[in-house]
Amino acid sequence: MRDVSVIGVGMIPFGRHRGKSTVDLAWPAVKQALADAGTDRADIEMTFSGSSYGGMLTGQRILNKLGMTGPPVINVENACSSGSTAMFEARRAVSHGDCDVALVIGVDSLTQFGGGTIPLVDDDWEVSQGMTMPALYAMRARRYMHDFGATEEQLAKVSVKARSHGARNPDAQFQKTVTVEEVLGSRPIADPLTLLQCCPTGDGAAAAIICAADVAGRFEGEAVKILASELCSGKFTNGFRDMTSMEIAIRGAGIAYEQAGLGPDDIDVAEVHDAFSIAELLYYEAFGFCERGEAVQLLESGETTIGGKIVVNPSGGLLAKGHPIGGTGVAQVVEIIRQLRGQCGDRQAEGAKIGLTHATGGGAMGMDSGACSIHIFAR
Amino acid sequence: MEVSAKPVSEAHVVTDDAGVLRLAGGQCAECDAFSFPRAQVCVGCLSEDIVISALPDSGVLYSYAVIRVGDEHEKLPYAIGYVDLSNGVRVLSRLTDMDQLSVDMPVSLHVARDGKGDSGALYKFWAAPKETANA
Repeated sequence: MRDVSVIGVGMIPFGRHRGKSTVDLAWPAVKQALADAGTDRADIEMTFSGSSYGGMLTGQRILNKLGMTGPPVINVENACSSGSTAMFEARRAVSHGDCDVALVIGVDSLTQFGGGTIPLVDDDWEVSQGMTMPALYAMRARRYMHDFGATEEQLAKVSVKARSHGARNPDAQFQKTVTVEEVLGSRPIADPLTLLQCCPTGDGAAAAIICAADVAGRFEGEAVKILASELCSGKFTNGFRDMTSMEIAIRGAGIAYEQAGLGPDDIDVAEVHDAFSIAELLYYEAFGFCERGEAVQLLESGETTIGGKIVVNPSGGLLAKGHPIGGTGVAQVVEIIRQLRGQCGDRQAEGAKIGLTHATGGGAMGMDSGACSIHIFAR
Repeated sequence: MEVSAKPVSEAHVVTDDAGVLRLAGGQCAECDAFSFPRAQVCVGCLSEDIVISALPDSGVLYSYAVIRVGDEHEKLPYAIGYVDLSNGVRVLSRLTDMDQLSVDMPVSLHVARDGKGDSGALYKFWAAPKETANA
């Protein structure tokens, strides 16, 4: 097993790029990552491309545009973890010596569906009975409010924080701050969640170039080490589950912390999967940033806001930066690499040395989530 | 009470000894594990011998959501929730009385005929708060 580093990243601003194909969303992000890494196209030995709605051969079609044809391309689908799973696979390939330099792409277009909730798999029983993603998280929120006394106002504060961070990120879909009143007064989607507590419909693409740490010196891009790379899947049950305790993320975090040889206190900055307001609170607890039931206190302490001890979602997260399904996992990597390099301007987590990304994928009946991929990076 | 619920096939319904329609779960003949919908293969022991077992007709509402934006073919809003049953099975069900729901409230499960489809009779099921169980 060889150490692996990220040497270049790129992304396009997330938003509604109506009429742009998946391919046209993605190639500029790849070109940007190549320039950032200082790699030639010919340096890329393998490509891992994550997308849920891009269609067949998404990776090859993107690389055709850039004249990067010939070497192996692996297309990855793992719902919202598609991009992070591509990262996991690329890191595995380099780490095991299959290649020295690999490209990771994450991309999806959601405006191709118009608007509303994302299309799910019809043959899932619960989906056939009317389950939606916002409803799944609304149920988590309802139960969390019951068990721990959280209020709708406190849930709304997650979105207020996300939007305040997004307002400092030129790549974010939403660039304006909002108030608690605006969040609660926005259109109800699945009670108790309102529109501003749900990640938006949008399009986006991101790319990263990774290489074996011992060859990173050949390239100009400032290298950031990958300390942990984890992927796990949800566990199925017909029976009762505690929907306020994200078992899959707790398990994944344990694996990632062990690989990296560190714990929650060591994390300076994190991009977690805040698809809905309640999700960020549940992940504070799953990652051990606070004790169970204390997520609201951590949020209200300001320690997860830019300037705090452990900045969560400085990019604006899924709620403000946007969530083009397959694009998310790689865009999280882009943000953390830029944070650890100190390139984030007025949303910089000062002095950040250790960063974490977490993308968790999909609702499937009887599981917390389908997939969960966590990475930890160090400058 | 009228509740908008997605129709389900007769495979999901069974008539109990008292002649009442109930949801048809499965119970593994090898290891007794319950499932709903009835499993084709047991996740516990891989047996394919899964017998029909009528689900309990009441349970406890674990959590719920009132859906106001969703499938455009649905009548909105509608409420869904997880009903936890005494045999350990959790069922996602439509709910009546969407303004009176609360976490951990006792609910009853109801099944009714809902017309006929291309491949046989159709049914619908829903849960209602126990106090207003005259759905």
